[in-house]
Amino acid sequence: MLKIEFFREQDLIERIQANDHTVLGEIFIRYEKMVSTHIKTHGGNDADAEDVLQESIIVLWQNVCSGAFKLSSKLGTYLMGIAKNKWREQLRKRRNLSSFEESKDFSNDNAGSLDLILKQEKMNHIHQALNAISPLCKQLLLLFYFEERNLNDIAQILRFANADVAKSKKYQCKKALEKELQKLRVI
Amino acid sequence: MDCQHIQQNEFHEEYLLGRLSESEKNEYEKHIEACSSCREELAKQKTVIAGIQAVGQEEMKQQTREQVGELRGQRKPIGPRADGSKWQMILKIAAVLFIIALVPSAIYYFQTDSGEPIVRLVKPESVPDKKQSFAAEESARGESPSKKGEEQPQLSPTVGTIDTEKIDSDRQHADAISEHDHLAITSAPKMPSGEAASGGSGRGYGPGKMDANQEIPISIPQESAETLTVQAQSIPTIHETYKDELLSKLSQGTRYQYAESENVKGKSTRFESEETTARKYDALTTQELVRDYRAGKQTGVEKETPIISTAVFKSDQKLITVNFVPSDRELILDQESNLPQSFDVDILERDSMDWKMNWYVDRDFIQYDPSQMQIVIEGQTLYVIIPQNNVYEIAAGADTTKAILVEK
Repeated sequence: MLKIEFFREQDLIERIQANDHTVLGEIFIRYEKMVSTHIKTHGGNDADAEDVLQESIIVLWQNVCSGAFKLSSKLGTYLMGIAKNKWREQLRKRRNLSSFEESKDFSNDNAGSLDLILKQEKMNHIHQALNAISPLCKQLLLLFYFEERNLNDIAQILRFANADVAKSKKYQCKKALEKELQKLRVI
Repeated sequence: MDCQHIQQNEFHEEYLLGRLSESEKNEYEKHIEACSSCREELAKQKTVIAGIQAVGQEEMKQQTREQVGELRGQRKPIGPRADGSKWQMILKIAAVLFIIALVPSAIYYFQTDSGEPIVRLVKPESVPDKKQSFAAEESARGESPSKKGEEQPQLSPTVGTIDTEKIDSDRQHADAISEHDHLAITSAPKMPSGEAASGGSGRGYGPGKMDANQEIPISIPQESAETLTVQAQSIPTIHETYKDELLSKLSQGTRYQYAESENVKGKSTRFESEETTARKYDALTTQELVRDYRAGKQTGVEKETPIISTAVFKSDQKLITVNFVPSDRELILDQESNLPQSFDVDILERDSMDWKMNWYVDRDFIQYDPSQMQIVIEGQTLYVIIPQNNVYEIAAGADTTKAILVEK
């Protein structure tokens, strides 16, 4: 008997709101074909499509968590809108980069690479510092600064008594992270 | 606004996260221009916050990759897949070829229910001559075939050749099927020594002592245990197999209870058919009809509707709206229950709090009172239960699909 995945978009949104990260893969698979078709017919390849979809899912996640998202159209339409913008942005960057590379002085060729290496090194240090603080602190900081959740939501997810507790805990965690970053001479 | 106020109220991060009001933002920016220590602090905060965000992004991408890998049942997570897609394609082709090879063999074995021996004979061109010479030998010895049959198993006058490769693969395949408990195979005992000596192995038909495709004239015993047969042993029907699973699923699913219903032309709760102008809308898709209806256009369903009645099913504030639409298609009725074996379903919306569906059903069928109906959603499937526990299954992922009668 034919069985096709039964899928309610509202459930997905509710799962994002409840901080259920296991929904990420499902969203990816659900909309992969749609986004991939668009990217590939607009000058991209499989890897581009994957990047764009992943970034679009992150935007969707942040919008849902921050309360900026309301399901008024199909989720696919919404996600596709984000993906299209992301891809346009990428193409624009690539065009700018290629025109810059054509016109630039090649004696400075290493400058860009060096910037990239320094940036990557900084990223590694931040990652290291985040892993050095307690897992609860790391989660709290990610919920607040990356997912852009409000303190009430954070209190609920991390089972703090209330938003005030979450706020003071966030302050402590940030200080702990800054301390680690100072040790690593990032800041 | 001074440095202390900014520090106390975490204005740096509020500014970076875009959470300051317009007036606060202006004031803050004015202060920053003049205050070098605040600019330094702002730069520091920017590094910290941007770092957290970048790490968050990277980790979320990694999680997605891992989950997709798991969901696809791959060991390797997603990534550049120039090779992967090629292998996937090869595997798909291999699977199709395997199925193509398997289906004829399965059909072949099921045919053995009729009692035909599984050994397939290929008549060689020279059969008449050999048969004649065989008969001539018999008569020269003065033995009639029937007399011989008293001492040895009755031999068929049919003479042919064994496609030895086919037999061997058939036997292996038959053994495999018996392991699945659907079929029992009466294994072939040894051939009589005469046959074995004339080329058979210990099992009679094994290829060990035969060349593949070797044509050997043989006589097949007509009613003897020498024949390899495949007998069906009360193979459960799909319906029976499915029943337990279905019942357990229905006990777990989310039930949508009947909430309300109406006739589209009024508030009547009667569910009787009426003459409609459905044919006028044949050229329009359901989606177009609904679009026009919402736009209040003359062509919409409100004016001349093919929908006879609407029923709403409710569960935890979530709704399923079902429009019953008469079907002009010929419905095949189930003989026992007199219900349609299936009916068409259009799923119009399923992305908000409510589902909307059109069911194209026979007029007799829709005379069931919706208050006696239930809808159950379990994981990937939607079940409709009408009175007397008649269950229809709908593949809910498709836009246009069928509700199939699965349980009576």
